[in-house]
Amino acid sequence: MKIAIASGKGGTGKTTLSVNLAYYLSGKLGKKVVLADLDVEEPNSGLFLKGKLLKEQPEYRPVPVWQPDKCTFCGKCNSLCNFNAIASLPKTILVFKELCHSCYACSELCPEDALPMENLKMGISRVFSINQNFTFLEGVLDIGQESAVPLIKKIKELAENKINKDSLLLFDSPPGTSCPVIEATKDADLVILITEPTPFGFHDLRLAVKTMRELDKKILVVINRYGIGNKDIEKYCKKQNIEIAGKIPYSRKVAELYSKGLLLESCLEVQKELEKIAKQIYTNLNIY
Amino acid sequence: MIIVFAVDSDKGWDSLISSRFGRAQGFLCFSEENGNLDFHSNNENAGAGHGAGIQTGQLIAKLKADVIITGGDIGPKAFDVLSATNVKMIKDVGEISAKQAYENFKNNMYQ
Ligand code: SF4
Ligand code: SF4
Repeated sequence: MKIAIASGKGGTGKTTLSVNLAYYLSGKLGKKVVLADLDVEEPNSGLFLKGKLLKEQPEYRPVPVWQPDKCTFCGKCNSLCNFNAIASLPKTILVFKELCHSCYACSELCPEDALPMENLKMGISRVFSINQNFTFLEGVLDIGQESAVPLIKKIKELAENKINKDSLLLFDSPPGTSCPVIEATKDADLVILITEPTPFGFHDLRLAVKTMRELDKKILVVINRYGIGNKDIEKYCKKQNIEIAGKIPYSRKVAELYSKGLLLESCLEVQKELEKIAKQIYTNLNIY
Repeated sequence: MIIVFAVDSDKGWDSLISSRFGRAQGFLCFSEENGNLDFHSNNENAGAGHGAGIQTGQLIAKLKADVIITGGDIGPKAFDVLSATNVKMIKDVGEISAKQAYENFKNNMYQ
């Protein structure tokens, strides 16, 4: 079962929920849990998890590399590329690697074999063992890479290889509503949207709900920093028929632990909410 | 020499120079050899989601331009394409008419 934890914008507690929920499910409930931090442009789940680094490796994606000696300047490659990643000019062919989606079309259809695919490093992946039930993966995108999507796909693949039918796979998704978050959530069985009770939080939640409904996802909402702001989110969720699975309270203690990079194990109020969230997850995914 | 002007509508020499290179609606292509001033639509590229500058740069190469004049900046990808074709880039001329831009160019006011 795959659960994506997402939010309309950054800084609403997505990471806090991801790491604490994964820890709770693996510890208190003894589930096998794999958590993957798919926010590869700014991974920070790892800051809260102390475990053993099992594996670290560079990740590559294939891009075409032009061979001037073979090219006849027929111009096919330019019209073949759906992503405008190739410019064919009278005396040269330019490949814009940042725009390339590694679809192989140009490479396979070039009549002269002048565009072989070669691996380009896009970032790294790491696998950690946090405890015997809890595996954590993260990806870190190299600086200068324009698209996070290929690395997100890769980390998802690695994570999927680590689960069996009884385990839960959690994705800490990138923020926003664009391609990276769609890649991270598109095959999730359940999406948990985390928000905070402020006008900005409410606005971004509505955008995120719209995106997830378009993807036809089951949604749960968790309110972070509950106690500040107003009740707009609760009213909205009721109207939209969306269950609020938990309300993580706003307290000094939570803020202190967070700033020290610690899990919220010792916060009873938070653990109670995690219990409720876990119950909702089980109900929604028919796990007993 | 062939001089190409980025424009948003075709009004001949009175067309205003467009400040959006990759998303300009079209290009006026002036051949000093035969005196023709032709309009080439860039509609398809102007609406492209990604890579508008790349496709537009290619169009300029196809027109065999020696000089391209645009009102604003030229994006990094379009710049790469244009650099590969050795076309002289004149940018940031503002929203003046093509005629004015050509005169300025002839008077060596763009370096
Ligand atoms: S398709 Fe192959 S041969 Fe034709 S222009 Fe592109 S690289 Fe050259
Ligand atoms: S591999 Fe696909 S996306 Fe990449 S340049 Fe070739 S055709 Fe374009």
